Amino acid sequence: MRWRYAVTLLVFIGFMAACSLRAAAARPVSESQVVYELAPWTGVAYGATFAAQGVKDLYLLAGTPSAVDVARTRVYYWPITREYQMDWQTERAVAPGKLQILRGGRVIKEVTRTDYILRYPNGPDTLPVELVTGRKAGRVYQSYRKAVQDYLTAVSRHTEAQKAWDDEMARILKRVNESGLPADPKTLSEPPRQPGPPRLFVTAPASGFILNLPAGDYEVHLVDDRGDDVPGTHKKLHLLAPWRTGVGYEIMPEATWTYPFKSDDVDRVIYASGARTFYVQAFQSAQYNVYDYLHLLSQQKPLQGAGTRSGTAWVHGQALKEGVFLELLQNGQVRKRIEYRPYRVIQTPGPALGYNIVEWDPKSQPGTGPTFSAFKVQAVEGDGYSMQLVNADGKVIRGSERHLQSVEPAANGVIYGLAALPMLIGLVIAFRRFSLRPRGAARP
Amino acid sequence: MNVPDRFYVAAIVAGRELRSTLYGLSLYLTLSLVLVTISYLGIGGAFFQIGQSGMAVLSNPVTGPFFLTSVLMAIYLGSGAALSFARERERGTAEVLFYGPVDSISYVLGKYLHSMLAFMVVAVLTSLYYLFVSALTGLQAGMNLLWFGILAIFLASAVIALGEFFACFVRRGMMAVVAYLAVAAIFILFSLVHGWMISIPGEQLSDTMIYLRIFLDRLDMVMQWVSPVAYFNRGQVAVAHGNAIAFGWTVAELFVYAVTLLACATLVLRRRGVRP
Amino acid sequence: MEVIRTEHLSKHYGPLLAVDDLNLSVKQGEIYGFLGPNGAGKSTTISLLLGLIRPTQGRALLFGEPVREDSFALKRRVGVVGEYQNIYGEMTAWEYLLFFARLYRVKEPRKRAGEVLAAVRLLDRRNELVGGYSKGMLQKLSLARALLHAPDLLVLDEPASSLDPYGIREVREILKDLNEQGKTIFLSSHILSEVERTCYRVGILQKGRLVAQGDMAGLRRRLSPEMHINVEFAMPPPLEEAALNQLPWVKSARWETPVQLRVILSADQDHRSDLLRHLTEHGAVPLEFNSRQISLEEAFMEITESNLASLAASEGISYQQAGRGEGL
Repeated sequence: MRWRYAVTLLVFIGFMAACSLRAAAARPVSESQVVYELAPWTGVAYGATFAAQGVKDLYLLAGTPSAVDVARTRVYYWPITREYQMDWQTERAVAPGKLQILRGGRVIKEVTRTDYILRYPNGPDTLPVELVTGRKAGRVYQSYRKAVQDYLTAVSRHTEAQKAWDDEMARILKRVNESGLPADPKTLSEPPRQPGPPRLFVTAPASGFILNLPAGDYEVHLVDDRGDDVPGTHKKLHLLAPWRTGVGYEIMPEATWTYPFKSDDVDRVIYASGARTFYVQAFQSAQYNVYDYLHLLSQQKPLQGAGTRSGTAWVHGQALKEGVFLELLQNGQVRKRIEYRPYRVIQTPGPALGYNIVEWDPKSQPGTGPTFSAFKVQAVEGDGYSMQLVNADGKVIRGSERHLQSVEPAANGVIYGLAALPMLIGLVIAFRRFSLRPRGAARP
Repeated sequence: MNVPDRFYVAAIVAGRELRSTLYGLSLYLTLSLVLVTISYLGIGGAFFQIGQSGMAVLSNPVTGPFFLTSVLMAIYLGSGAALSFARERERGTAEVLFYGPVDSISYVLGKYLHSMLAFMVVAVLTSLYYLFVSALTGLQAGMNLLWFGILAIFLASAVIALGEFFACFVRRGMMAVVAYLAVAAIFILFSLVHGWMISIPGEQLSDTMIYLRIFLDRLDMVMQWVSPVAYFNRGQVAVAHGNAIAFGWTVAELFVYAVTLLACATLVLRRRGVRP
Repeated sequence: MEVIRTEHLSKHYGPLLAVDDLNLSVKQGEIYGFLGPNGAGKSTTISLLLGLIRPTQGRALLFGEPVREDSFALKRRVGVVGEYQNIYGEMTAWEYLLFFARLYRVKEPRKRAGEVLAAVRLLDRRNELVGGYSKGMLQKLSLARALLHAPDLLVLDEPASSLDPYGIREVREILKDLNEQGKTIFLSSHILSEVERTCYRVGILQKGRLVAQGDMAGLRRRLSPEMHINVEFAMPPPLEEAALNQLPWVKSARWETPVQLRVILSADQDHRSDLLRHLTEHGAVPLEFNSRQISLEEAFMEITESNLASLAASEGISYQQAGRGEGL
C-alpha cells in the first residue's frame, strides 16, 4: 500500500513544480497584440485596465455605461507584479471597425466608436461621475475648457490686481513712514479676492465603444469596415450584476472614532453597552463575486482573483449624505431625524490625552476644516431601537435598516453554570443506572 | 417486509438506542463541554468586542454559537453513529437483531433515526440554553434561530448519514470513529484553508501559493457537493441573507445527500453482511 | 414436513470455501444436532439458514420457503441463540426482553417476558444490568430472548459453551420440554456428549461439507468405536501386559502403574464383561473398573474418511464424499 501513498505524494509535488515552472517561465518579452482597453464603471469610479491577447474574458458592470476600445500595441508580461504591461510609446494604433455583441451565437448589437468624456461636477476623483458621449461630450469638454480658460484669465487678472494693490499699499506705507502720520483707513482699499478654481473636471475626449448591457454572458469581437472579423478580438464578455445591494454603514464610536465598524448587511446588529454616542457614514453598497470583481478592476492581472471564485465582497459606492436623513426609531416609531453634519476632533490639551468631537462651524472655528462628516447618533440606551436612512420625501432607502441593541454583560458564572447543567443531569442518570449493576456475585 | 413494518422496526431499534444514549453520560458531558467552549468563544468573544470600545457590530452573536454548537454536536452524534454502527457489528449485537425482523434497511434507518432523535434532544436543550443567554445578556437571537435550527437538523442528518456510511466499511468501532473524524477534519480544514486563502490579496501570494489556491478552488467545486461543511456555509449565507430560495435549495440538497449516503450504507451493509 | 432444507448450499469467502455443496434436511419435531469441529462451517451455515449472509451457490429453505435477509414472516417463526452472548450490557434483562418483545410484536410483552425469564430462572435478577451478568446468565438470557416470540424452530449455536454442568442440564431440560411441545430444534455443537444426550439426529460437518447425517445412536458408536477402560487393583496382579495384548478383543493394554491397567477394547461389540471375566479368572480383583468417553474433538482427530465411509455403510446413513481425499 505504501507505494500508492508515494505515488500520490509524487503527483502532488509534480503538480506544484509544474505550477512553479509555468510561473517562472513567463519572461518580459514584448510582442505586438490587439488588446482591449477598458474604462469600466466599478460601482465607485471609472477604472482603467486592458485585456491582452491571452486574456479570454472581459468583465463589465451591467446596467451602467462603460467604455471599451480596441487597439494594437506592444504588450509584455511583467512577472514581478504578475501583470501585463502595455508599451504605448513604441506602438499604438486604434483598430478600426465595429464591435459586435453576440449572445447564443447571434449578433444582438453592433456598436460604433464614439467620442466620450468623463464629467466630474464636484472635481476630479470625486463622485458623482458621468460618462458623456458624442457631440455632447465635445460641448461639455469645450465648456470645461472655457471654464478652465476663464479661471486662468481670472487668475491672471487677480495677479495683476494683487500687484497693483501691493504697490498701492507700498506707496501708502512709504508715505506714512515719511510723514510720520497714520494713513486714513478710508483710503485703504480691500485686497483683490482670489478666484476659485472650477469644481467641474472633465477628462480629455477619447474614442471607444460605449457598452451598457443587461447582466449576463456575451461574446464580443471587432469586425473591420469590410465586415470581416479582426483576428485576436474574440472574447467572452461578462456583464456583472451585484448579488445584493443595500446600504453599508461605517460606524465610529465616539470613544474610538479611528476604529470604525462596518455594517454591510441588515443582519449586522449594532450592540452597545450603556448609553453610547456614535457617528454613522452611509454608502450605497453592492455585493459582488470576488473573482469577477477583481477581474473587472484589473484585467491586466490574470492571477488577480485566481482561486477566489467562491468568495463575495461588499463594495462601498457613493456616500449617502445629501438629501438623506438618518432616522432613529424606537419600537417602530421615529424618535429623531438626524442630518449629515461636519465634525471636528479637538485634542484635549494637557496630560489627559483625550479628545472631544464637536460639530464644525466655519464661523466659530475659522481657518479650520471638518475632520469628518457623519450622522451623529447620541446616547442611545434601552431596547427596541433601530435606525434607517430616508430620503427627503421620508421614503426608507432599501437595505438601510439596522437594529441597535443595548447589552449588559451577564455574570459568566450563570452562563457557564447553565452550560454545565446537562452534565449534572447526565451524572444523576448515570449514577441511577449504575446502581442497577448486580451487587452480589453473579450466579449462573 | 413492507414499508410500515420497516419503519416500525426502525423506530423500535431507534427507541432502544435513544434510551441507551439518554441513560449514558457521554451525550450530556459532550454537550456541556461544547456549550462551555462555544459560550466562552462566542458569547465571551462578543462581550470582549463590545468591551473594547463600548460597542460592536455583530451579525449572529447568539445564533452563530447556537448553530456552531449544533454542528459540533451533530459531528459528535455522527461519530457516535459510526461507533455504534461498527461496534454493534463487532460485538455481534447487530447480528442478534438480524435474527429477527431487522434487515439492512430498517437497521440503517433505525440507527439514523436514533441519532436524529438524540440530536433533537440536543437541539432543544441547546435552543433553551441560548434563548436564556439571549434574555440574560440582550444579545439578539431573533427569528434566525428558527432558520438556523431547521438548517442544523438537516445538516445533522447529513453528518450522521456520513458517519453511518463510513462505519459500513469497517468492522472495528474505533476504526470507524477515527475514519469518520479524519474525513470530518479534512472537510473542515479544507473549508478553513480555502476561506483563508481566498481572503489573502493576490499580491501577497507567491506564484506557488496562487496555483495552490487555484487547485483548492477547483477542488472546492467537488467539495461543494461532497462536504457537509460546504452545505453548512451555503445554508448559513442563505439564512444571513434571508434568501428563502437558497435556503430551500440547501435543505433539499442536504436531504438528498443524507438519503444517498443512507442508501449507500444499506447496500454496503447488505453486501458485506452484519456478521462480525 | 421439512423445517430446514438446504440445496447445494455453498459459501465462498474469497478463496476460502466455508460451506461446500451442503444438502441438509431437518424435519418438524426433531432435535437435530449439527456437529463439527471449530471452523468446520457450522456458524456460517446457520448464518446462511437465517439469511444473514448470501450464499455463493444453492439456497436455504425454512418451512419450505427461501430465506432472505428481509423474510420477516419466516424469521418470526425462528428463535436463535448465537454462539456468543451478544447482549446490550447497558440494559436490564427486563428492558432487553421487552425491547425484543416489541420488535417481534409479541402480545402481552410483559407477561411473556416474565414467563421466559421464569423458565430460565432469571426472574429475580430481571432489574439488574446485563453488563454484570455471568456468561451462564447471559446464555440463559439469550435463550429467553429466543423463546420470547414462541418460535416453531429454535436454532442454537453452541448453547452449552458457556454453561456449567448445572446450567447445561437446565438448558437440556428446557429443550426437551420445548421439543415435547412440538418445536423443532437445530443444535449446533462440537461437544458430542451434549448432542448425544439431546438430539435424535445429527449431521456432521467437516471443512464445509456435510460428511455424515443420521440418527444419534449409530453415529455415536462409530465416532467413538473403541472403549477405553481403566482398572485399578488392590495389589499388583499376576498379569503380563504381553498376554493381555494377545487377546483378540484387546486392541492395546498397558500398565500405567503396578496397580493401574489401561485397556482399549475392540469396537465390534461390548467386551467389558469379557475383560472382567478374564481378570477374575487370573486372580486379579479390580477395586475400580471404569470406561472413559472421548470428546467429539478427540474423535475427529482420530477419525479418517474411510471409517466415516464404513460408518455410513454399516449404519445405513447418508454419506457424502468429503472431497480432496484428506483425513476427516
